[in-house]
Order: sequence, then structure tokens, then C-alpha cells
Amino acid sequence: MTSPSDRPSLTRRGFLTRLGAGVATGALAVSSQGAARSAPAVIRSVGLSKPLGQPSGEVRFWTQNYGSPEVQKKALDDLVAKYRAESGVEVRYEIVNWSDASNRWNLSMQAGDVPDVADCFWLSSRIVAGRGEWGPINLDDYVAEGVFGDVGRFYPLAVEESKYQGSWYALPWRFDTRIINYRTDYFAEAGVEPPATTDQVVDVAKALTKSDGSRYGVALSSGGGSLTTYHHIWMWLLQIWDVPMLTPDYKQAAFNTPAAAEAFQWAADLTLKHKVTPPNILTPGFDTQTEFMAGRLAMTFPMTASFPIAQRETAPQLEGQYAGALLPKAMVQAAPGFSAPVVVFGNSKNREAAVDWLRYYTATESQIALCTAYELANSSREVMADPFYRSSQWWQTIGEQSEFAKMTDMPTPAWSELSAFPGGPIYNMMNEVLAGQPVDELIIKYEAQFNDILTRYG
Amino acid sequence: MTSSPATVSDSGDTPRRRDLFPYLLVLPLILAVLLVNVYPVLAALQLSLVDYNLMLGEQTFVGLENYAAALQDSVFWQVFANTLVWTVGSIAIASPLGLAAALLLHQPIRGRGLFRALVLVPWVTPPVVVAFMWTFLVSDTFSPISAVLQGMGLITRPIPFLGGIEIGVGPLTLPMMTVMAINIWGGFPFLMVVFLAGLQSIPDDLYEAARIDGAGAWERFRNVTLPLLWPLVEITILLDAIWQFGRFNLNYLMTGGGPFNATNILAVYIFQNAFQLFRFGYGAAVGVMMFGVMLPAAIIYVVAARRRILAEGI
Repeated sequence: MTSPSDRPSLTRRGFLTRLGAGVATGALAVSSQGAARSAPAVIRSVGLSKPLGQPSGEVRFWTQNYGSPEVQKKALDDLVAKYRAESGVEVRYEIVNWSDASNRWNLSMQAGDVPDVADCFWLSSRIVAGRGEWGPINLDDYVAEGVFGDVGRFYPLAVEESKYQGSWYALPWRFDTRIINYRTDYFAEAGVEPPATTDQVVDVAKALTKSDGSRYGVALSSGGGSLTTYHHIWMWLLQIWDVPMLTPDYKQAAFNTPAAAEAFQWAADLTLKHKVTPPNILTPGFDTQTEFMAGRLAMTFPMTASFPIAQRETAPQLEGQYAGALLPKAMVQAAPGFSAPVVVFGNSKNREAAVDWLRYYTATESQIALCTAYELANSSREVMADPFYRSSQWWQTIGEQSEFAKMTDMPTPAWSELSAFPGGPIYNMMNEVLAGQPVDELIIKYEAQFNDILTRYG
Repeated sequence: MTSSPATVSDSGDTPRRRDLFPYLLVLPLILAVLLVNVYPVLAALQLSLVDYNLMLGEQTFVGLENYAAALQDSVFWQVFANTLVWTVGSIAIASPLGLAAALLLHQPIRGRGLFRALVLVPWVTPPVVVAFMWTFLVSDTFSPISAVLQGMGLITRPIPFLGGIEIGVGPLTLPMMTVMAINIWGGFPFLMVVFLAGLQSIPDDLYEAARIDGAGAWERFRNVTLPLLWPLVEITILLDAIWQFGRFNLNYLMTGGGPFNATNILAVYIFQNAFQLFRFGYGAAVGVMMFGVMLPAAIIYVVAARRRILAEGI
């Protein structure tokens, strides 16, 4: 028998060594759990489990920021209050800022931390990321029952973007397309009209550019801030030169063509050859919308429909001094087109109320209230027939341009990675095009990157 | 059967209870440190060995492929060079600046307290505010700096502070120099505070004795101030080097690492790859390599700090 003094005592080194080894082993084991996980091979349809009943309880709803914060809050509060009075359902909404939306959505979908209903984008990415569990639910049965009214009221592109593999997974609400935004006073002074073709862009921009650098004729941009411009410009250039972005099965890049090289070279030449675009367009912090409002740009495109909101808030002196025009054509007339899908997520604990909120949110009356407040175009012809949209030259141009809108976000789960802003391959490629890197080499380089990403998604 | 009597202390505790008790007291802290510091490092190490597809939730073991991809990527080497230039350049300018400010503010001048507070303003200003303020001040279109210089006739066009990548040498382009200058502006006050504390610990008797011996200001600085302050300067510079190597805020907020990675440094590069491009494995691999570079410096710092503490009898 040993005495207490014979038994080995726990020294400081021994204690720390054992503790460290134990925790390290445990940590490695825990962090390795993910390696054993594998994705489901098939996306299961998470459809109806019981008929739509009397909704009640609470619904969580996410949407992105539109218009001014005060206007959006009031419009949503009013809508939510009306819905509560009619249905008794409480809708708790959260506004996700666009500057963080890409990251927020991708990480939330990975973790399954999603609301009941949401205005999301990149529908196919959300469906795949939901892994058949928490992704957007199949709405075919609801559509067939007429829960959402006559879906024939939506534009064809909006219907196309609300479906995945032929089934309804979303209802569309707002619609987004782009036009030329130009200074009517500068154009009148120079005696020119908005360009109808890409060749005319160069001539018109030269007439508007001042030699002292105080004003440039044109800058390619799709909205405020310098980060959101590049991937939309890339897509639009391919559209008007009639170049497909991806193969019909969306599994490979398809833009390695002479026409694509011509398109990108045209964009680069605006700055580097014709010098009608500010040379600092790629400088971090350069904001095309701000430059336009400061009077240093005569024309920008493809510009978002929401420009008038920013103008009224920050440049009221421009009221009546700008107008919209159709985007110039190259081979074809085209414009980026996006419709925003509203979905119900599969892990919603209040499915009936969530679907009913979707019905109410996308109803014509609700959409007129929201989209006229936010000053957004809509996916529904009924909404676009409202007098608000027929009352201004700007909105009439948006409506006309919508007829030429083409699908811009490709229905592949890889699109969120391809289109990541900033930093995704489309964004980077457009950056390098505008910087004057050899276009042919860029097309080959980024075609390979595209295919590498597309291959990973199968 | 015999047994030797247990040794009992005056307090009545056995030696085993005395050995364990202090460790039990610090155990919660150790667990917290392990959870918050050690576990993420190990998790990053594991993540660096896989290709993690966020969309599909799949992790595929790829061994050292992520490391190989980084070492073969010219952008990685550009960013690594930028980070070295950033670290060395920032310290090389901020340290003498901080020391000079400390020496000045150590003098018994009127309003010394106010000046000390004012010098601290750049350091206490939140990074987001600093980034947005300076982005405006150095913008091509609205910079008051360029406006003043143009008004004085010294320049004819605005200075492309954040866009002029053609100006400069190698990684030290104008955008990089601009962001570094702002970093130094915001960072040297901390060094000033540390050096000032060190200066205040030097006995006045030594300066008095030096004056009696006929030493001028420069000789007093070189033979009294600098030798006594040097251990503190060494450790502070080492600590600052570790911080500067891992900086993120200013470069991400002001330029996003652009244009064309001219101001990109490793922490921003890792963030971009992991959270914007969703290349988690690659980002983790670069993070592990960054950790490997910083670890020797951190070890040197800990050893040097411990020696200083022991030497001072603390």
C-alpha cells in the first residue's frame, strides 16, 4: 500500500500538459465534424403538408432597403398594420441593407437561420443552399388553387425568375431595369440627342466632354456607390452584343466570342481611347451618381430607376434638369432585367400565416402602395398601369425599357459566387476591362474561373 | 507494512490540495482563453485542409492544396509584400514620431495637459469615422487638400491619392503611401503615450548629473534618455509590429484593398477570400500562414516582456 507521499503529486507542468492535450484533442475532434457531413444528392420539394387554414400568430419577414429609410419604414408599418387588422397576424419585419445583403444571405442560408418570408434574390442559390430543408418552399399547389390570384398579371421575365426547374418557388414583386440618365441642359447646350446606338454614344459623349476635365460625357454605372456597378455593366454589355453569358444548361461559360471582346473593348475605349469617361472611375470611393449630381458627368447608364429619390434628397437643384432614355443598342436592344422573388422558407413554424402574408404582400393593392412609395417598378402589369407610373417621362421610359429586359441573374446556384459584389469574377473582370487590360486575355482567364466555379456546383 | 507519515503544512493542508487549488481558481479563465483563442486557431487549421462549399455544405479534404494555391498565386505574393511594406513603413515613421512627440510633451510647458489630450484625438477616433473622413479629404473630386494646392498654383489637377497606382515604386504606390500616412496619423499617439510613461520613469537626478558634467541636450538624450528608454522602445515596437501586420480596418473601409490590390494587406485578403468569394479553405490557409509569420514575433515579445518584468522585480 502506498502512502499519500508516495503517490505522484500533480505538478503545475503536469496539470497544464494534461489539460492542454485534452482540450486540443477535443477541439480537433469537434472541428472535424464537418468533414463527415455530405450534402443531400437531391433537392427535395418541401411542399404542402396540410391545407391552408386560418392564419394566426407571428411571421418574421426580411426585405432589403429601398428608397429613403423613413419612407420605407412608414410604408411597411402601414402595410403590416393593415394586415394585422384584417388577419390578426403580427408581421415582424427586418430590413437588410444592400451593402451587406450578399454576405448576410449566403451565411444565413448556410446556417438555416432564415425568416418565415423574405424578399430575397438569386432564387436558385437559396433553393440549393436550403438543402431540401429550410430553403424556399414549392408554391405550385397554392398557385393552382388561386391563392395568389391570377399569376398571368406578371411579366414573362418575372414569371421565369420566380420558377426553378419549372415549379413556382416565389412570387415576384418589384421589377428592376436600367435606362440612360442624362442632363437635359447639357444636351441642349451641346445640341445633341440621347444616343440610340453604341457608336452614337462616343460621338455624343465627345460633344459633351470639356477639355479642362471639369465635365465628362459619359460613365458606365448602375447606381449609387462604386461597388454595385461592375457586374451589371458586364451583363448588359453581353446582352446588347447578343452574347450569352452561360450555355443553355447553365453549366459552362459561353462568353468567349469575338462579339464579347468587341463589347468589352468598347467599354474600355470610352476611358482609355476616347477619353469621354473620367480617368479615375476605378478609384476606390468614386461614385458615379455623386459625380452626375455634382455636374461633372453629362450622362450615365445603365442607371437604376431609383435615381430620382437620391436626386431629391441630395441634389434638389437638379429637379427638371435630367431625363431618362432607352439604353443604346449594339447588335440588339436589351436591358438588364431583374424581378425580386418573395419566398416562404421551409423551416417556418407558421406555414399558413407565412403563405398568407406572401399572398397579401404581393397583392396588387399592397404592391401599388409599396412600389409607388419606394418609387420602384413592379413585376405586375396591373401595378404598372397605376397613374403614378404614367405621370412622368422617367417612369414611362422605365416601362418602355422593361419590354426589352432580359434575364440577368442566371438560374444557377453558382450565380451567387460568380456575381459576388465586390470581389467575384464578374466584378473583377469588369474592373480589369475598364483598367485597359487586354480583353482577349481577360476573357480566357475568366472563362476558366467561371467554369471552375460552375463545375463545383455540378 | 509501514507507511511514512503524510507531510502536513502549518495551515493543515496536504501538499496535493495546495498544488491544485491555484489551478482550480484560474481554470475558468484558461477555459475561456482556450475557447476564444485556441479553438479558432485549431478550427482554422482544420479548415485550411479542406475545400468548403458553403452552398452545398460539403467539406472535401484536399491536404495542402490550399497552401500550394496561395504560394502559386501572384496576388498572394503582392499582398504579402504590401503587408511587409505596410508594417515596416508604419513603424519606421510612427516610432520616431511618437518619441519626438513624447519628448516635446515631457517638457514643462504651459498647456501641456491640453496638448497631450489633443494629440490623442486621432487614436481615440473610431476607425470607421477615420476612414470616411479621410476618404473625403483625399478624394479626387472633393479633396480640400488638392483644392488648396491648386489654389496656390502648386498643382494643376487634383492629386489621385487613392487611384494613382502608377505613382511610386514597387508596392509603395501613392494609394499605399496615402493609407499608410493615415494609419501613422492614427497610430503614433499610442506610441507617444507609452514612451511618455517611460520618460516619466527616468529619475531627474540623472539629467541633473549630466548637466553638471556639461552634457548638452543631444548628449543627455543619447547617453541618458535613449539607453534607459531602449528596452521599452524595443518591446513597444515589437508589439506594434504584431498589430500592424494584422491590420484590417483602414484598408478595408477606405479602399477595399484596391485599386487592383495596391493597398491590399493580408487581413483584408483573407476576409475577401473567405467572406466575399466563399473560399473558406483558401482563406484559412492564408490565415494559418499569417499566424506562422506572427508567432515567432509574439514569442519574442512574451519572452522579452517576461525578462523585463523579472529584471524590474515586479
